Amino acid sequence: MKQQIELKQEVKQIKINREAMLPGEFGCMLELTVHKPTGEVTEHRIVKSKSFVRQFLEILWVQCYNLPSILAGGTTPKDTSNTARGVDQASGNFSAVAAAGITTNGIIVGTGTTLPTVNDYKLEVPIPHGAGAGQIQYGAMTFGAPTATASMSQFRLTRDFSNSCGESIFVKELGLYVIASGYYFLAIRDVLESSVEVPDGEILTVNYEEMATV
Amino acid sequence: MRTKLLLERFSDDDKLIERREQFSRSFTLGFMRLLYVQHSQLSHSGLAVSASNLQVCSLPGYSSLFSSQGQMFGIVVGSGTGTPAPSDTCLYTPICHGRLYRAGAPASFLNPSFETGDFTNWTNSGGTIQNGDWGLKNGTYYVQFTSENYIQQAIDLTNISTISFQLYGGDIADQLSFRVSVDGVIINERVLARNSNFPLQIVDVSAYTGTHTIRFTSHKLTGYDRTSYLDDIRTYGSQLEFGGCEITNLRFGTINAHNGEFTVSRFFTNHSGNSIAVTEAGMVAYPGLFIAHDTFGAITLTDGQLLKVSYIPQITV
Repeated sequence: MKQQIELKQEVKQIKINREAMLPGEFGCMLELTVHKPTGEVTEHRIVKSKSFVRQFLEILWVQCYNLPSILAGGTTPKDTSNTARGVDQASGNFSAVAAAGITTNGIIVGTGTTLPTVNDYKLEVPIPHGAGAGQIQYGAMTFGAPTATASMSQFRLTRDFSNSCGESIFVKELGLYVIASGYYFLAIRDVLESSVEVPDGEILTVNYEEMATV
Repeated sequence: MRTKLLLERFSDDDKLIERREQFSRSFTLGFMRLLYVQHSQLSHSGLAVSASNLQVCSLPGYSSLFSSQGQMFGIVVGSGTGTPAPSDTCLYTPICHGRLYRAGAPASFLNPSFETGDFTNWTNSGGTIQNGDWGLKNGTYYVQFTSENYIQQAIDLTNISTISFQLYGGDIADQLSFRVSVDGVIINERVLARNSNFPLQIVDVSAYTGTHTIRFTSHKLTGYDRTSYLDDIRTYGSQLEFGGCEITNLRFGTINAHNGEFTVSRFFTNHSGNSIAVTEAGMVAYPGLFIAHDTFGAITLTDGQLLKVSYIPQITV
């Protein structure tokens, strides 16, 4: 009974957060759901994602410009190894595709606590893939197709993280890594106000819902 | 991320006369579709992954040779009014490139994008209504032609300077052409290359006044019957000269209250000999998707004046 009441409160909070999008804003809502393999939800949050970092704008600039390869040094965003890379327009730019176990692209989770800055180039403390101590198993990235209402258009990026390391994992930071010109870049980084606990044997589902409002 | 819309009016000797600034209200579903396709690397409703997706940088004017340049891409302006919506696929009343002036509002074709799902208001000879995907069509339905087919409709051309339409055609190169005729006289013909996609074809009808019959014909040149697709037939009145659409000033740091931005901008020059009011703006990105739409109180350009429209995406951490 107590659990049902808590879930109802979360639903109310979802509505408030969605309305927090400003008119004309393009942004993300970040949905976090911890559930058992049976599907029973043990925690559910929706918060507004706050931090597109500079690499997102730099790659968007490259695509809007249709920057040819000969000018790839025109902008040199830093990849996730903190190396400046010449980037040009490419069909794979902005790709967030990642298979299970891949931690170089797509949605990434971590334990870092430092608040985001525009110059962040990676998660502060990424959680590695695996079933050992301090590790979590990364599922494959999936994508929900775009839809529109009278006031908003949106689509969804999703990834599951399964904890079988024998103890709880506490997720404090999240981000989205994308590809540009074959390199990996941090596009979004968020640090949660409080950690999400993923108990041993449970799954964390992360949805980044990119949306634009009128 | 929010986007600032900057509107600046200049005299013919480049002096700033008027400056307005507002937040852009609407990235449309088109923008989200392009970003989704790039994120997922999956096609969506005929929209494919491409190195050029999201391109808004463009050459000036209009070119019938380069389907991805000129007024077909980048910032566009119009004279329509209303409240933008995420599902918008074009300006309400677009202004096209040129120097012509029309005193009144242009008449529109009835059922111009075939969204009735049939040929209501059109005379049809052999065309069929389709609702599949070829990427750039407007709305759900379009017309498929097989060689010697046509559709036609009578329209008052008095306030119309140009007609545009989307065209996709030819599964074999150079065996099919597409014709536009007025009262049976061909005024425009284009030979279609293999699987060629022409998101905006422009036909000048400024020499006509009064009501005339406009016919769109698929014409077989050689070989077997070939298919072509037609959609989104629009009319335009007064014209402005489109400058190139440029991308500049990518910068980071503490910029007022935000941390990063770049600028997309374009000049529009009025050489029509009369005043033209602009009330809406937007952006079109490769491969022809309408990605942003804004309306505002009229900015009136007298003859010789310039309008600079800038979209400035800004991120704040």
